[in-house]
Amino acid sequence: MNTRDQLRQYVFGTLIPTPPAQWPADDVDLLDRGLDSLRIMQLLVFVERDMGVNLPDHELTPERVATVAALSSWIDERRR
Amino acid sequence: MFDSVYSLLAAAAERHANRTAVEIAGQSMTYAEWKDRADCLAGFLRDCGIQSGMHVAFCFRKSLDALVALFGIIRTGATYVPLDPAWPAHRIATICDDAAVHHWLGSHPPPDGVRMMECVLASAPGDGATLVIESAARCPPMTGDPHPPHDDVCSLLYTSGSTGSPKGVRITGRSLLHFSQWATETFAITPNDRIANHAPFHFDLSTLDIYGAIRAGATLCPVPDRIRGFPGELARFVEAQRISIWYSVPSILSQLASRAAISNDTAETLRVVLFAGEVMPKASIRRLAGQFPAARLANLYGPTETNVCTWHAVTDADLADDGPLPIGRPITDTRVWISDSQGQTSQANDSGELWVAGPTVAAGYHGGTTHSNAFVPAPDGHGIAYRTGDRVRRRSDGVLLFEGRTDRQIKSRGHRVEPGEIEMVIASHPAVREVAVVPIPDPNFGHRLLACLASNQDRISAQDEIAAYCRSRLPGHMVPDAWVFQESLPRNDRGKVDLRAIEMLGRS
Repeated sequence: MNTRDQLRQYVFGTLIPTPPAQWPADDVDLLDRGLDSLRIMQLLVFVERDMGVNLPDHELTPERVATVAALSSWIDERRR
Repeated sequence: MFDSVYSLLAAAAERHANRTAVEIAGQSMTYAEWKDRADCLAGFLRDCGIQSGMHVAFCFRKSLDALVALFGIIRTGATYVPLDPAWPAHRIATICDDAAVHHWLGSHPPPDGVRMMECVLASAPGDGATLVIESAARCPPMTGDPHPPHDDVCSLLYTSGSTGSPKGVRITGRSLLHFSQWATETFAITPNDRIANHAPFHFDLSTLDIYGAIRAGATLCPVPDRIRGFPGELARFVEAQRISIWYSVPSILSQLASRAAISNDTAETLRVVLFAGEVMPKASIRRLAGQFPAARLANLYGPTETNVCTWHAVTDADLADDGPLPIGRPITDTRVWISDSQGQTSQANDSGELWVAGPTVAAGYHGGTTHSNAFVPAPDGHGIAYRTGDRVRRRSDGVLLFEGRTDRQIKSRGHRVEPGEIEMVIASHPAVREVAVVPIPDPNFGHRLLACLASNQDRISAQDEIAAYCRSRLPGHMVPDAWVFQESLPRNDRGKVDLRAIEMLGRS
């Protein structure tokens, strides 16, 4: 699975459970779909533990986690 | 000296006319501008038929418009009903129906599913908007004495209700005036202060920020909605805005203390840090005290029905010991009792349910006889007392300690949550046979919510579908964080659902 698939699976399978037919496009704003502060922290823990990528707190902004697309480019950036 | 909530703004506009009253996202207004705009909007609202005794929906993201609209409504004597634009349409509609709201002021027009309104004012133009709020500045201002709200009920704050639907707490002008006076005096708020407003308008924490700032002529700095949950952004906000007073739920402060870099400048400028809404973990308060060595830290306590009724200034001894942080002693003119399990409120009781009477206690629930057993005649014969449902203990030095609930109510992200309300929603889904919702303790967020359910569908498809169903009906903090499926719910030997056993499922 690539970064986006892995994120989609966790976000819409676990964090904001959503019937597969209704999974939104990668550029849809997650903050409007129930990604609140607690769920953001869970998401960061998932990325760190299950994807092995460390996301520094001071880089965490709404823009970087608001969409699957933005988050996956942040992760790919930190991977390099 | 202040006879109405409106008079707070009128006095500030006179004494601090050219001081900056509100600053948000590069926009600001002075106290004189705030009052002028509110008067003009009130003139328009009055022409729409809005008056004392009416309930008006107030559904805003943080903005100057929101604060103008707030005082526009207050000026007419109508009662404002704060709603969160992030709530699902179904919940907004439920509350609008319960409050019999006919007029809507918001960042946007009402969402689909909310019944027709007689009058809609919105910041952003859209279908059915009668007026865009900005253009109200051209309306002739409302003049003359402000109209007092009916029964002194200034706003209805909706909180989670155990019987399955949210209930509207009737907040009085007397409560807002008394509380803002107490806060201004206790924390010595002056026109030089810059007060952050983190809590949403429908959360009683916001009343300290808004009315405390106005009473003192200080500058109110609402936190833009988008950065509310981002510790790094919040730290940058506090620094850039030179915030001197901060008030929020502990979970946000815990994150700020552990996940954000606090500059020395911020640590010097921030002089008062207040928190309320849930238990502040000892580790977090120690970290906060380390980050802000010069700041006064205080724990404010009180359910929505009492606003803040007791408080405790954090001491070095609190930081050193391992006991819970006290909820302290009553604020001015407020009386408390500890009731035993028979409902007896003897002075000799040192642990039991906390009862509260005083000027900040709400005037009951809207329309509600169903919950009215929470409001009882005060044991000393003066007015009404609110039975909090919180179990407390009186320490030997007289301060009160919070020890838990007499019922199932829990806190999630600082919001109070009745598991029964979530269970009613989940149980109304056709795939659900039975359900129970329990808290799982979380070191940073107080509690996460676990739903344990028996379904007549297979687990995989049911979980997604039921979660989506919850999201369309409940605010985010009430949507369960974890789901467990069982053949049937665990029961004890008397046949009752075994909530303890379900909590253990969540820990494994």
